Amino acid sequence: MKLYFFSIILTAFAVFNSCEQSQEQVIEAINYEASSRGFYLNITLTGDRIMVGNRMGYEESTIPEGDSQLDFIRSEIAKIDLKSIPDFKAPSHESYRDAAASAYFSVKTKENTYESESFDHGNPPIEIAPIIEALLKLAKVE
Amino acid sequence: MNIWVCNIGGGILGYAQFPGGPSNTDGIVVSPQYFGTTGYVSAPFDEGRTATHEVGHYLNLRHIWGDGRCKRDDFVSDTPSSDRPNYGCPGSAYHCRSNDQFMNYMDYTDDACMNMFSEGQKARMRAIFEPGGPRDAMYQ
Repeated sequence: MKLYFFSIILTAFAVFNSCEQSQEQVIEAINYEASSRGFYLNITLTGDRIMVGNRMGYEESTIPEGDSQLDFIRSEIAKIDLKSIPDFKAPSHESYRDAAASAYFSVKTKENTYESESFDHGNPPIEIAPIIEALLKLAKVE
Repeated sequence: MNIWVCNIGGGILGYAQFPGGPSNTDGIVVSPQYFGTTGYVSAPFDEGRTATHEVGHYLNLRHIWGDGRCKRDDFVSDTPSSDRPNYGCPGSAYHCRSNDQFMNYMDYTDDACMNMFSEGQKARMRAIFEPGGPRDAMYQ
């Protein structure tokens, strides 16, 4: 009997714990922002909608389902422990002296927003470099 | 101090080398469209403040927002904390529970809206010329 109740408690814990993790991993938006004194770029990916902003304004469009860059971003994001995003190391800090634009990468879930430390546009942390490259391609930004 | 005026591109108006770097690249670089007050320049970067900003870096100043969010510092005690650069000519800007000093030369506002270094920034710049400082040879 005790074993039976213990099993129920253990199962309940596992179920609620996994529900919490699933909820944490439900990504609402992915954002990339880069700026210098003369340059601004903001890319927000929400589902299959992408919004690209610069100093002139914003444009929003829908990405066709099955787009290879979109599929790649989704699969790569799923591999990342979102809590580790703030710990990703920038390979360089040329933006400190204005030799590069400064960039941020963030992932928004229902519960939280996980944002990286700033890094140089064009030289992101290795953990997210493929995702950012795909985002820039999706946004048709060189 | 070397000042190179040449096209840079990529949205970069100018850049600098902090103290302690190689001598053959030591100085500031400014694109001609943002250098001086006549010639190729146009508003809002037509009052020479890009060079002022870059000389600030050359003299060891960081961006006033600390190149990060609220906890990141510019290593100057009398500049307020901020989590971002300011652009244009804001009437006010409030981040990290304080008013931004957007008129500071080390922010990203337009040339016409920059007009100061703080006393702490001046002290930080002067310190590099002190005996043993990274640019004390320039002062000798």
